[in-house]
Amino acid sequence: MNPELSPTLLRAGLELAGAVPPADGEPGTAPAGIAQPTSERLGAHHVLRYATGEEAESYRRIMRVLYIEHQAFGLRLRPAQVADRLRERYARRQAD
Amino acid sequence: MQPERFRKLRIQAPIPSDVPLILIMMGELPDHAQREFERFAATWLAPLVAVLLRAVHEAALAYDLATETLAAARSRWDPAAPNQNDDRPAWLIELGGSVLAAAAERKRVPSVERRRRDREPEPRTLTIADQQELAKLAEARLELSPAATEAAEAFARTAPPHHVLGEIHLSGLVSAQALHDQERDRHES
Repeated sequence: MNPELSPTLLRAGLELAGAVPPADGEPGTAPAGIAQPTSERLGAHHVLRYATGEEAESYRRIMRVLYIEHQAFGLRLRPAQVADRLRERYARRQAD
Repeated sequence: MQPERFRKLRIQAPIPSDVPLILIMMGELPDHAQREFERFAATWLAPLVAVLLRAVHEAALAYDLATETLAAARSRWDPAAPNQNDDRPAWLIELGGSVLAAAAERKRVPSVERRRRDREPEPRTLTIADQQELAKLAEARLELSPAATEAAEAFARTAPPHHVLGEIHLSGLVSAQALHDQERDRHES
């Protein structure tokens, strides 16, 4: 049978080697240049559902209007303004 | 059916499809591999210190080298490898040889592998009792596979000479309490 270390020396060695997490559980000092880990949760997000679900055509038109406004450094649009832009942009295309 | 060129694009797309591989690249191990490595490290830390001690003849130096070697083993641990438990101790001893060679070249035990994680490891000062416990490992009988025995013998044969070993400083993550420190503590208490 191979030799064994006392529990204290074994635990310290395993912690140093990264084989087990530190016993205290306290967050340690991050080495220079390495950011502290974040607890931010990044689960599933249905961020594109507007573009895949029912009425996608209408939603995409609204989003396109908002996107174009954002690209032009515009601020917020009131609902009536959005409706105007939609009519202006898409009604004219249909007429073409 | 998708045209061939689209199928190729799909395969080449940078989609994180291999989570274990990504974890390893981040210096982390999947849970099952972490448990497997933990068992391996707990079993082989003492024999590794023993092998190192027979070459370097100093307990704190052997412990410092052994923990760096285990950290190096962790970052190279391949959970996808087939069951190679007989060969892994041999591999670990060979890794220890590389760590000792790096230490001899830089005159300091490297700590890069232990500092690879996202938090700084807690430095450990070995008491006189710790050092005495470690020193006893030099006399301990080791049960090694033929491959590990061969690696240990090669390690002992190729260890740096005494004057080179004497120039190697500890990494700073392990330090040794000197005998006069112990005497001073005794007087203060």
